[in-house]
Amino acid sequence: MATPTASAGAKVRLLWPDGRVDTAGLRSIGKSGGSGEVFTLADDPRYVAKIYHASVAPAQRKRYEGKIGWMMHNTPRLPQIPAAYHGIVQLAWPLAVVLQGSHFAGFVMEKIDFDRTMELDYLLTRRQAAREGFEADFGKLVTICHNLASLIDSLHGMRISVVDLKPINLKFYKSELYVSILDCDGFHIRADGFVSEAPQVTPEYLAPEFHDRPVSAPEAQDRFALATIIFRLLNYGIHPYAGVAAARFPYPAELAGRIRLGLYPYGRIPASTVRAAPASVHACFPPGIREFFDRSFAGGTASRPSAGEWAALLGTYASRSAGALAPCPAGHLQFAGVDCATCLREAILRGHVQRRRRLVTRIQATPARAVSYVRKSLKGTHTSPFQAALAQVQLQPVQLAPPTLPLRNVLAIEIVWALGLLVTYWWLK
Amino acid sequence: MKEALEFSAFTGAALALAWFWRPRSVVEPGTRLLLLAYALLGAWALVFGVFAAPGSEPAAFSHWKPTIVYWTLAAIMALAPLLGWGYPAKAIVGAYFVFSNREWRWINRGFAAACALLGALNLFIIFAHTEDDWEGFKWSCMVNVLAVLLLRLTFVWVDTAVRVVVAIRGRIKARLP
Repeated sequence: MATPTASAGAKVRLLWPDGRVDTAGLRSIGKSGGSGEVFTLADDPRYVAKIYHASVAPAQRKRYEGKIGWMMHNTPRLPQIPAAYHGIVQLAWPLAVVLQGSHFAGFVMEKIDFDRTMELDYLLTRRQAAREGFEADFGKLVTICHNLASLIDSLHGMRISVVDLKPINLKFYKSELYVSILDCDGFHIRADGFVSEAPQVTPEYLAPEFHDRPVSAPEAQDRFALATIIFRLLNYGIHPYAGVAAARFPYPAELAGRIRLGLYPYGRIPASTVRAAPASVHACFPPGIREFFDRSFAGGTASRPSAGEWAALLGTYASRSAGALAPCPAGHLQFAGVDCATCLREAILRGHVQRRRRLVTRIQATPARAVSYVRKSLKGTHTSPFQAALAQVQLQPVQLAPPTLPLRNVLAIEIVWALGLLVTYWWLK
Repeated sequence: MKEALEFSAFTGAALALAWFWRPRSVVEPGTRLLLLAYALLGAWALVFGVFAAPGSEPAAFSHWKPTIVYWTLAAIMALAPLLGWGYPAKAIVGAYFVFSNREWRWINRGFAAACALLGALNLFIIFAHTEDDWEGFKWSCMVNVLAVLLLRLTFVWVDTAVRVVVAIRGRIKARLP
């Protein structure tokens, strides 16, 4: 069977769920992933088409065809968006099948407006987000986390799991703070007699129980990944398993190794084997959120909070009327009842900058101080009692007696000594 | 055989020179004991290392040789101070170094302990480890020999060489008109 390929300008047929068939032209936008390339539809800017690469194996293509067909007819019910917000796409969900000739080639999905959105990955480094025109604060972050949790919860309600849930697969609307999930064709589906696996995973977001085996409980995996993303968003990008080794404990260099061993240092009960990263502000999270993080990372699979629980918890912080977030004296938005995380972060960074400045100054002054020290030592004018005492210390190296024996006697001794050394060598070799 | 005779002649000449140039001062009994032990060990080395046919020494004995040397040295260095025969470590390190008697005592004890330990370690490795491990251990012990040699070289032989050069230069100058 010939494998269909697509190129810009190619005409394809679109098969919609109601049986309608349209013809459309493809226009390349230069976005290509591991499994396919995304094109815009020449006649309808609201949609884009993902066309699978020709290199995708026929068996895999067949699986995609079945999955896309099911997804097209089972659009999930997503969290409600206020009517004032237009054009928010929360899922890049398949809406129609793309056919080339009579063969399956890909699918059509709603276009996510790249001008209005930003990759969630950018929020892990707030300076980078600011450069892109988004000033993050805890109010916005909590809202984004809440919207993400709500979206995941609605998918779980249909027994659909993302599995490879990670910031780079997520986008958010900079003004409305709603989240979009990309790569929906990689979801795990187990509903109404239809099953489709999701083998793709990312070790940094993979739950400890699935590090050596396939993901058998995709919802539990999503819960772990969701908690990891929320933790990183609230804690300035610090991963929940990024810490500092305590004592002589062998600490894996890779995050995956730390996840497998459960080395979570941000719990309410401090871990003995690992310490928190110095720049972490987890101490300024409210008790409810900290409890959820502990349940996600320090508890077992059963205790891990669901996306629904996260959505409910974060909803109280995302709601302005609840008053769970309040401005601190410095004007930052902080969690009520605890210290301001932004102030703490600024103090940490300020302290770091000051320490670095002091170190640079010391290094720069070292040659002059060394010269001054030597000069004072030579003149005996040290003002510090300790340095004065140190300068007066006379080291007593091993002393040799002045030669008293005649040279012949010395040579005689050394001849015997050398012969003795030769004998020793023979016996030891 | 010719090489063995040459080697023996060279060793004999060196010993004769050393005897002829020997200091006439009194030698501590501990040092004499050490010399006696080395004379015996040297004689054995000469017989089995130079004259005897290769492989004539018992194979199992080769494993014990380092222990024999170490424990002989340890025994001499441990016994001599007890008998009031001085500190044999002086002869190994060099009496040129200015140490108090107390310091020599501790150096002597240190050497004795190290030799005793190395001798025991040699046996432990022979009987509890492989032949390869023992080979490794044996050659690693050469580092100790090298350390003693370097100590002597740095603090004694360099100075002696300078004295030899000065003496030769003095004689040449004296002969010049």
